[in-house]
Amino acid sequence: MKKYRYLPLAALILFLAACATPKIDTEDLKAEIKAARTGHYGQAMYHQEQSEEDLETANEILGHFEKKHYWNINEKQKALDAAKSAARHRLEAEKEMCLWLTEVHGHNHHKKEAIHDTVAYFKTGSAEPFKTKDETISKVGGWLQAHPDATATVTASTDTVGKPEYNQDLSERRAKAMIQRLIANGAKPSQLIAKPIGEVPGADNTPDQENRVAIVITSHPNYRDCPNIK
Amino acid sequence: MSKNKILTACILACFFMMTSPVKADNYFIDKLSQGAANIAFGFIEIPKNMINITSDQNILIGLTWGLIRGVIQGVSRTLVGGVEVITSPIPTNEFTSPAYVWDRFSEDSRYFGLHYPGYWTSYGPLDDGE
Repeated sequence: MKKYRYLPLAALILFLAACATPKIDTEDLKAEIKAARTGHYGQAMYHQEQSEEDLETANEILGHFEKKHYWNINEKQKALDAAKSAARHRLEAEKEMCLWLTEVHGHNHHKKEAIHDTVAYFKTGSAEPFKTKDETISKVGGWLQAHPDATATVTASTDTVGKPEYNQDLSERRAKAMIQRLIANGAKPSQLIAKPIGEVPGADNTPDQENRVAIVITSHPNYRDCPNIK
Repeated sequence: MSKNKILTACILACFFMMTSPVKADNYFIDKLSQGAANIAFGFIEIPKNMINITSDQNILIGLTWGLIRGVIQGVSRTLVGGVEVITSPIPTNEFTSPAYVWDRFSEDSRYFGLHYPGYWTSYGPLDDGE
């Protein structure tokens, strides 16, 4: 009888082992769930869901206060925390949505519209150009009109003929002359930046047509979706 | 006789559970059913207090203070239930809150807007405020 003492125990262990639920590998399922919320759009959805859940909690507790239910349980802090958390998640959702927006339409942002061109040539001592690239001036003027947040820098210079002070003044007049032409073609004065640099360094008293010019360089601020969201 | 009592209790329980969520237009029926339910099930205040105080404090306080408080609450609910039945033809505000003992199980009961001392401050295991 004694030798069969462990038999019921062994049978019990065998029975329990047979009943044990096999462990199911959930790694693939977890990966799929995670994949559903990857990327900016997925994260926006995630934060939106969290915000809704938090807001539901806050509203539910508000309902308790208004109906005087659960008066013996102080839930105020929980409700406040939930409401703040809802606002945080909402902001995060908005940020992620903006990033997604940039991701999907970023190619429409202005990237290749910068113009860098010599638009006018001057004779020594003159602020009136003898030759201009009217097509470029017209294009820049029209582009500035179409993009009010864009700017253009007009850089005017002189050669080394004459006194440096006179040449500084001359380059200022050359820049102004070009600004007038750009304004006439649609640009606003506030979009135009004059940059009279005076004499271009070189051998003294040497005429050089390459330095008696006005150059226009346009620039557009880096475009950002939702710039007010920080 | 004993079987009849159980049967009656079951029928009454089913009746009250079915009628409680319905917003009755008839004050009389509403108040009468609340009063009858409170007379019949006022004793549930005992486990209610024991469970909630155990959850809020510990099992010892739940079994002692919870029992005492539950008995006081149970007697109160039963008596107030009687008042509800007697005054059922007269429309008034609810005398008990929660109206039925099984409603909002984590909420400490009040009678005529007043509460007893020693109430708990957290949700019990049977009700999380949903």
